[in-house]
Amino acid sequence: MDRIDVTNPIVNFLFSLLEDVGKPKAEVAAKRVMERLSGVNIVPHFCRIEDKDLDFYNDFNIIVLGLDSVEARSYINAVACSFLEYDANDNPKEETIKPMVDGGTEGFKGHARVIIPGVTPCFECTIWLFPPQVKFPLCTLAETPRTAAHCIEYAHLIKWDEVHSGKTFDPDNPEHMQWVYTEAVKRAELFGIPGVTYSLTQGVVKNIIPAIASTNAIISAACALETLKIVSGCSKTLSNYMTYNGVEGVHIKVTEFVRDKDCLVCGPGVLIELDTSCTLQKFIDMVKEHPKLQLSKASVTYQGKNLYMQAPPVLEEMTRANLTESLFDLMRRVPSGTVHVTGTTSENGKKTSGVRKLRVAFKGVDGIADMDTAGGA
Amino acid sequence: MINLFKVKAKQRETAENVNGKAPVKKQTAGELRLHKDISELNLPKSCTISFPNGKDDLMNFEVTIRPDEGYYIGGTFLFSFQVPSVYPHEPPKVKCKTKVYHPNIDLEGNVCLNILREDWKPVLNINTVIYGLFHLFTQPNYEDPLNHDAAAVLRDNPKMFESNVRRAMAGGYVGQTFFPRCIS
Amino acid sequence: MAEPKVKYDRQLRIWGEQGQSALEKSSVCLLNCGPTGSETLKNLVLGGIGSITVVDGSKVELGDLGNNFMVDESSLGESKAKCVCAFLQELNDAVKAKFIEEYPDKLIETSPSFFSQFTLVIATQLVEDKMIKLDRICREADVILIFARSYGLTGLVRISAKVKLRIPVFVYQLMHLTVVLYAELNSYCDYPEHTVIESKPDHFLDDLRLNNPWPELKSSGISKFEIDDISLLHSVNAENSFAESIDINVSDPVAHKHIPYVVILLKMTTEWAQNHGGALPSTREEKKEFKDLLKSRMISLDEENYKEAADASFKVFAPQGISSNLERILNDSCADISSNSSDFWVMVAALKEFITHEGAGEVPLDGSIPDMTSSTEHYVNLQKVYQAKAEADVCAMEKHVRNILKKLGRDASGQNSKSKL
Repeated sequence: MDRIDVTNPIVNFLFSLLEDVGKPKAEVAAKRVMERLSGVNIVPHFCRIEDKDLDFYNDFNIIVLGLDSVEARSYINAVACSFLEYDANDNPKEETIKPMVDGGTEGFKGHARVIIPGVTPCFECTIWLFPPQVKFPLCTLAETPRTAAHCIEYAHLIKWDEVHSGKTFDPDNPEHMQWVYTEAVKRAELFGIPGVTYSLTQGVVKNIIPAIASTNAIISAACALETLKIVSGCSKTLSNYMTYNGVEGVHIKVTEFVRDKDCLVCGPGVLIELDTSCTLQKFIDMVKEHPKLQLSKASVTYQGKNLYMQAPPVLEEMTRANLTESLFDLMRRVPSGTVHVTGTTSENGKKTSGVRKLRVAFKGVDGIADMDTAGGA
Repeated sequence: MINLFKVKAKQRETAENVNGKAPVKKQTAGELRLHKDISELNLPKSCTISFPNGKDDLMNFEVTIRPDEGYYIGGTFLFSFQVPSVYPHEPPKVKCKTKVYHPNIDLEGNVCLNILREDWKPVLNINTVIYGLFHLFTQPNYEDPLNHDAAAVLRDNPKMFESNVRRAMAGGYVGQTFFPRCIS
Repeated sequence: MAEPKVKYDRQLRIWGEQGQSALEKSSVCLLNCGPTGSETLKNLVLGGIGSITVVDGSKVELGDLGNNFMVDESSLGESKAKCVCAFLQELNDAVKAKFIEEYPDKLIETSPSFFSQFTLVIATQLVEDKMIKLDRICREADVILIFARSYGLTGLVRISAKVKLRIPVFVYQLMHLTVVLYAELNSYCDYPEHTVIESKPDHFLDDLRLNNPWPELKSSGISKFEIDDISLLHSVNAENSFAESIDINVSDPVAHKHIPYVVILLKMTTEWAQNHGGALPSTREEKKEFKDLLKSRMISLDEENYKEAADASFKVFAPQGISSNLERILNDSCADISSNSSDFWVMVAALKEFITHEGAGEVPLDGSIPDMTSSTEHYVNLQKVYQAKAEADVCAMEKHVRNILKKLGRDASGQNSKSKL
């Protein structure tokens, strides 16, 4: 969805400072490469990644990520893992694996990784690799600012709302940025704090990541190479996470991270076979008795729909009627699907709560035949 | 080695497509974790939760706090929660929708609660946050002020602070600032 | 046209304007503009290198179209150097781009003096005997040489340098895009005699001098009546000791939790030393005892400043003086300067002087302090104490540099002596 801004051309040679500022990145990049290389077909999609449905992503053999946030990576990861199916022995079905190649840079540092859902850890298995953003306490900003960044965040997070009631701050609007900068300067002067500059203001507010062409080239080369290896099968791939650091000398390390067996996104979950007549209440009772689960007080959710919630009372009331419905109907008569249940288990008298992934399959319902019937009905 | 051509050959369709409905969006790990938090909520009597967008949107909800002790007894305070998709990697965004005379809540509804910003950890949950908010009303503190004036009054003259709170909650001015009534 | 400051914003955040200007003063020569060489130059041109010279004698052939983005069908049969150069020029008009249609092998044989005009030469896909010859030429001319070679899924990058450079930020820019054998890259950091005197590290241990505080800093941690008690301290100038008024035993909880940890540590260190015959905590038990002492002074559990003090207490125990690495440089024979010593070694000699005199065994102070829990006033004042010391140290260094240059009979005006090792 990004458009080209003035700082992009020096790190991306496909963009021209003279002609392209303000144009959609996807369209310009596709056009430039096709102009250069005959026989290459690139289809740009100028939209948000969430705007495309699952079918769109399912049409590709491999997904390469040039994303800039934890949110976006987490989303695409969930999409790619949603295609993954496991057989009765909890082994991933090869034909359902949608590999991802991910890369990212910050200044002299970068990483590249290969995610083979069901085989190597998915993004969610290792989300702890990404440190949460630094957030200053609001009362420090309001009462005891010490650094230039504190003054800037005060103007951005507190003063803006105070003055522009209701108007949202737009980091891409230069007037807004200028306003924050001016206010930050005033505040810094008031407290005798040095160092507020326009550049720092942009850096703090927009969280601008420093970038150089070379790191991007190294990381994109690694991503391209891994993609090439996956699609051609010409050689063994990176296994599975490479970090590059060019700050002092060059250090490259490859770490083989391991999967989180119980990962809600890429894990196999527990397979449960049900009769189509099984009610939600009966299902919840089963979950309690099931040897691999033993989850009591289960709440159930399916594809973003809350089928039953044990708490809070307001949601319990809204979902109570579902208890007597058959799960087959509640899951809109699919032959099989993934549901998530939350509940408590007790081991040696110690209660722990957790979310579990369940693969529900309905007995006697053949997927293909059922679809044919549905199509013909 | 994965055989990608097999992947391509496999045609997979969801039931939604068969029925001609809009395809589903992916439920992220954050939504699942929130589902767990919400289904395990155990709130004090004085706190209630509501879901303005219905039972299937847990990412946006409101919490009403009616303190049963302390300076703010009798008042009704509404908080909005916006939970990011990468929850619990990032904390929920919480704003106080009721204008309140409080040392740790400013007039725009920003709340100074450490676990909402610098001390947020993924092991914390929605229940902890709501309890944290509840405690702000039973134990307002002048050490981490967001409303400087209110904090100074609480520190220097608790009696006056108490009467300011009563006046604000009943609907009236404290200094130059008008506070709408929030006692039911 | 965008301002350079705006256009280079993303990289200026890394190496600042000084780094950028060093980049803009550099001239780079590329031998053979195959994919490896061309991609290398691309990354330098985008960043705004001063000038590039592309040397290649071959013509563009069909086989080049599939692996080199810088040439296209319209270039078939033309000079490869010319086409690559034209493409690169389009990427950044601030760069001076030249090409020479000649085979590098021939240039190495016939015009060795050609290479001395460059800051750096990148030689790609050369055969061994030509590499050896070129290496000799470049070493004699004090030009840095980088060899790069790629072969299928492997490749190597090697640096050969004799010269001493000031800020080789662009060396990092020289990674090439195609395929690199990652392990080989580690050879990258072994510059023979490569001197970097100014770099912008993105994380560093803050030099707070808690293990060896100078008088003005020390006085900042001590309340007034105690200073009278400790006559062994250096004479304390009342004007310089901002924080004499900081009483870490203050009873107001808000004031107590806003005392910067630097002050807490200084004060507690003095207290410790008084009770231990002037010694600092050294054994594991003593260090633990010191931390416990810190904890015992907390008046509530949520005092972030005391937690920060405990976490930073290792800075108090850290050995004083200079590191062994620095010592090695100071004792290098080059530090005995002569009239043809480089700027770098003049700086080293000045540093040596500084350490023996003003520094009292320490290098000049950097002066920046990290953010820490504190009231605004204490923090800003503390910052000023560190800044003042840093500025005084820079002045002293400048004085030494000027004296040395005078002794050598050189002009002192052009020296940038503000750079710090």
